[in-house]
Amino acid sequence: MRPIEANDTAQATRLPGDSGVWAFIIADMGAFAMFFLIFSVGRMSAPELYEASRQHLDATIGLLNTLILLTSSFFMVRTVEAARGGDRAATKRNLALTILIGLGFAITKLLEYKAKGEAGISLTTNEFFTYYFAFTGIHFLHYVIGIAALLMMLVKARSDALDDKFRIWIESVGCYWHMVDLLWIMLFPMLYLLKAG
Amino acid sequence: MHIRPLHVWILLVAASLFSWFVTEDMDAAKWGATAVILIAAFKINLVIAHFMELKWQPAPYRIILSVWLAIVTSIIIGGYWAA
Repeated sequence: MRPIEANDTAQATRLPGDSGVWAFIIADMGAFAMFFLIFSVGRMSAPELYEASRQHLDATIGLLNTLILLTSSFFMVRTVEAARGGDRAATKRNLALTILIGLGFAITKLLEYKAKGEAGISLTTNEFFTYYFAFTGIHFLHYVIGIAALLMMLVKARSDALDDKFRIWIESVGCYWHMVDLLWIMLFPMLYLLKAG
Repeated sequence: MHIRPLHVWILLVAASLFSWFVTEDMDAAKWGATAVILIAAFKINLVIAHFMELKWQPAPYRIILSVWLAIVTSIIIGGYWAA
């Protein structure tokens, strides 16, 4: 274990990012909790339909998406650390890696939607797929907003001073990006892996 | 305890792969599915504590997110077993 540093003391008393962003994150997570509830109630009334539908999903792609977002999140942590240390080159490098790795999620997700379309599966196929497309679609919208925010931060990291204002920006975008990761961590097993007993 | 981000990432990837094998190979599907949701909850707790850095926050954000996680995990596991 490394020795306690001054940075740790600062973290003990300060919320990363902007409190307004945190209010948004909590409200958003509340909405997703409702999605999880709606899905679970639906599954209770038609477990056979949900199981048969689940078998049409490609869990390997779901796992790949999980690993992509986890890795992108890791580089986001490194970005915030570099920004706090005032290291512009490392901030830009890690931010670029966060975005580049994160873009893999869009590729696999769109390929997955395409494959569903080719198999004749859509939002109206049945209740399971209505929820599948609605929840993963809303999550994907969050992801797109996250990528846009990360790209904006990459532009800011090129010229803006790495001061407290920038630090709050990068921490806020970072926490939002971790939320996108966190929501997928639960969406993936709920949709892809809940094998009927 | 401070865990280095790289170690947290390794733990998250290992947990993801482990949950993958649990669903693929476990005969007792109900317990396998339950384990997979619990592993997801463990992973989310790691993200909240170490990536979002709420480990150092006494209140209220850490508490709100922990309660959220407990509720969501209970809903999914409860709904699964009730089906």
